[in-house]
Amino acid sequence: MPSSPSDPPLPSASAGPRTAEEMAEQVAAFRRDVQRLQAEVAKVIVGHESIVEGVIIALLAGGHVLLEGVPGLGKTMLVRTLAEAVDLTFSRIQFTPDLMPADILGTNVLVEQSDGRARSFEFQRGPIFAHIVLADEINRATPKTQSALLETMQEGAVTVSKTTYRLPQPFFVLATQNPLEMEGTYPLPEAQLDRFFFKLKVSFPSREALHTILERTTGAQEIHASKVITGPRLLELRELARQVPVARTVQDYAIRLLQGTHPENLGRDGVPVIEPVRRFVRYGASPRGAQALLLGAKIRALLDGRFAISAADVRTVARPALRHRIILNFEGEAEALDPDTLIDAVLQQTREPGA
Amino acid sequence: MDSVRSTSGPAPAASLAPLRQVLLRVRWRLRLQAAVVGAVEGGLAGAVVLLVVTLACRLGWLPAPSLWRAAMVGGALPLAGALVRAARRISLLEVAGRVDHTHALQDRVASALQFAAAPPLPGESELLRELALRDAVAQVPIIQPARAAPWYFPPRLPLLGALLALVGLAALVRVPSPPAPSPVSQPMSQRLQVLQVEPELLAPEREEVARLLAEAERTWDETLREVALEMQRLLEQIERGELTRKEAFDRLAELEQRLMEGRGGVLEALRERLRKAGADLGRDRLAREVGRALEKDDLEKARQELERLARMARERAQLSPQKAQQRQQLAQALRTAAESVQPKDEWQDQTEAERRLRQEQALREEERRLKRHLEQHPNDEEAARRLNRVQRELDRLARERQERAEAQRELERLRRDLDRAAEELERQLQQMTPEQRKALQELARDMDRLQDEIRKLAQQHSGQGLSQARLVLGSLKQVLRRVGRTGPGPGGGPGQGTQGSGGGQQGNNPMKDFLERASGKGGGQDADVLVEGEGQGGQQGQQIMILGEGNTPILLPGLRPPGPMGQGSGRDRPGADGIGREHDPNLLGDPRRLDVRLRSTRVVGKEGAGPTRSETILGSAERGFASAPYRKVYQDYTAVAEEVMSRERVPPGYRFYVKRYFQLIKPRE
Repeated sequence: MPSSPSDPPLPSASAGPRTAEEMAEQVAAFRRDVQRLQAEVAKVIVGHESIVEGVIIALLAGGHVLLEGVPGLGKTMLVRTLAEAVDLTFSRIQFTPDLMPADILGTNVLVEQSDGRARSFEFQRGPIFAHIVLADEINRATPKTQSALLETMQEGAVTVSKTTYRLPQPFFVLATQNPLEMEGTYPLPEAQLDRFFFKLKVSFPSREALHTILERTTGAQEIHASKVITGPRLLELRELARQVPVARTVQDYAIRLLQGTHPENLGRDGVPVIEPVRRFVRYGASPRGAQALLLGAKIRALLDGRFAISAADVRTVARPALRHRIILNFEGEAEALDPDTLIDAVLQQTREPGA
Repeated sequence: MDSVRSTSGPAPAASLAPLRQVLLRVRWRLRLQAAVVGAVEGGLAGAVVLLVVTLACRLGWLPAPSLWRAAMVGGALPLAGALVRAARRISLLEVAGRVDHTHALQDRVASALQFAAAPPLPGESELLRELALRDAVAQVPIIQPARAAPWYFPPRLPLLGALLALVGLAALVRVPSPPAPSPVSQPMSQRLQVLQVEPELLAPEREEVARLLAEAERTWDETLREVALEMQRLLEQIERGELTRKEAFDRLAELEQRLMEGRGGVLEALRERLRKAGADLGRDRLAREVGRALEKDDLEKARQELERLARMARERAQLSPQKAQQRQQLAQALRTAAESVQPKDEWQDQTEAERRLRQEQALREEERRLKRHLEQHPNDEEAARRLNRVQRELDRLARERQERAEAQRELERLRRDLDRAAEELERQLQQMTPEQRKALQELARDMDRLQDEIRKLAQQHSGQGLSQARLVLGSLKQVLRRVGRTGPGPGGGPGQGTQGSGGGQQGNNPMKDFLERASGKGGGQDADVLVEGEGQGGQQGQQIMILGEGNTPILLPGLRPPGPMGQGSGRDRPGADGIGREHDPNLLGDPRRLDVRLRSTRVVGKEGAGPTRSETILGSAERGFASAPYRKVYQDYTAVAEEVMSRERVPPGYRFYVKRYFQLIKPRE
């Protein structure tokens, strides 16, 4: 279902803008579409604006999101609402220890023809074949199943019996995990965590937000989000976001932030010595972290109506882009150190361009 | 896409022109601000320099002109600091970053500058870049250079103000000079600076130099006159403080060298005449040896030859008159020699006599005027000093007149003896009677007397003028050492001090302690012996001495003599062998002697503090010298000594010793 008929016609993606004015109009349309999507999600999800924004940024950047939070905070509702607001297919997979990869990816089954004479194997697509996939409590599945999911996340395709099946585009995975119930879970390995574009922490809503939640969910009327954006439009928005130029100084800032998470780089090549990083980090964020920083910053800049990213954009997306990519050492683990503390230290001690 | 952009809007570089202008204005303000900060920092450095130099000048460590140079440097440093800071490179990108930061422009300006300078990366939209440039240019109206580069108070300006205030205080406040500039406490640097000598200390030298000048004029000795004039100039320069210690000693060394090379004075004049007489005598065969000896200035040989001639005369008085012609020749030679010996009497010179008379009359008149003045103003110390000086000058003139008369009498006596010898010879030629023998015997006696006269003449005038000048130089050197010396110990003098013998390895403390006690400050330790000496050991020793004849140090009574290493400068004096070179090698006898009486002794050790081999003698009272009574005694004795010297005939050299002695024992202020 495309956008409503009252919206101005979108420029043709295939033709592309011919002038700066047309490009400016595309940027404005980008902002409008995203704001409409945010508003539609906000009809259902209350008090998680930053989470919604993070999820939308990851969606527009073509990445996947890991949502972490205690049960009952609306993680699943958020993903479901997003899927409703976007005219895309949605599937939800509840990860359990006995979940097998075939349960996610699909499997070949023996199919008898209608005439009853011939039988053949036919691939039955699993729930992964959807535009938006909710991998609920992903840490409850075995690593084998986790890795099957994460491989499809990275490749955008499923290979079964030497046959590769492309996943629909846009393909967007939102995984959730509960940080409290660690009994009987299989924490995601660092290499697989790195495949998530953002890791968003869902916090407990405020009192005002709780009032709204109660009013909306305990009444007779059930609120649902309507579809405001289509899949192709989402792909156009992705393409536009990737065209946002980046100044060298801002890119250098993102790199210096990334280097600041690596204890072995501290004090060298203009990177300041950040004591918490030196003390608690075993290994810093991977280059995927810098990619996430810049891509997220580009979308942030477009959402802000600017045509180039700034250091502030980078700073804004630094936490969700880096927090799951920093590997703590034993001391950091023993101290139960929050990686956000380390990222704050890095942000504080890394000089911004022009400062 | 490029064609579209070229038709749809201005080129990025052109569109950035207003942005660049704003950025240039911001940069100009940044430069100006940096120049102010640089000027303040340079001013800080300059103020520190100025403060240090001002204090050094106030304390006398640096001469006053250094202050002007420091002021110029202090003024130039802020300018240099401003220039250096203002010339520092400030890129436009840096300025753009500052503008973004201060105006919350989200890196619009800095990004635009970079987009305009570099081509787009693959995948980047040129249209978005152009939009970014336009967006940045659109921010120009809200960009305020004053906001991007605000004027701020240089943080170190208060410090600069405080330093300048300190400089002003240091320039205004007069640092009191130390009450008693103890030579011990004076730093080495000050010694190396200008030599400050009280004029009163050099009074004896001035008088001696004046006397030498008069002597040189009297004897027409150009060398002595030049040396005396040079010494006079040197004294004046030292009094005016125009020379450093090193320069003064260099000049003294130069003068000494000239004196060593110089020949002249009275002795030279007399010898010249004797040489002429010798040449005349040399024409006679009999008196040839006398003439040669006189020509060679060998007075001893001349005396021996004359003695031989006298003996010959006695012998020949017994001989026949065949030798008459020889005798006549000898008589003629003696007469010619007598004419040669006859001195030119300067006192006969009317002009010179009148000049000296006028000088003496003027001094008499000045003396009378000063006496009248002192009767009316008995407390006028300056007049008293001048009167004293005039009286001493009159005494000096009187002594000179007396000495000249004495010298004239000596020469006259010599001339008469020669004349008489010649007459006796002529008389012998005329009649060789028994009286002739007697006459010849008289001639022999005359010859003997002539020998005595020559010996006396040699003794009286031997080296008097020039050695007196050397004496004055040595005395002056001693005064300068005393004045310039800031403390005993190693290296205390300009390489001329010596290590005194007899345990002269005393450190600074004993001397300092002694001087402190002497100035009434008391001391915490027992003093040893006051010593100050000079020699060649390279260290300042601790013997006290007065300057002896020919710079020979003379120890004060009761003090230890210089030991083996204490070579004094008395070697300069011809004939002097120095003092304290070494012990007599046979002081303890021949160590190989066997005929000695042996005596076995046994030393039994005793526990506890036994008798010591050395004993410390208190050299000064615990509370310092009783300076007031001593000063009175000193004045009384000085007056007595002056009176005696003016009343009695004292050789000039000894007058100098007496003056120097009283100067050395003069109580310290």
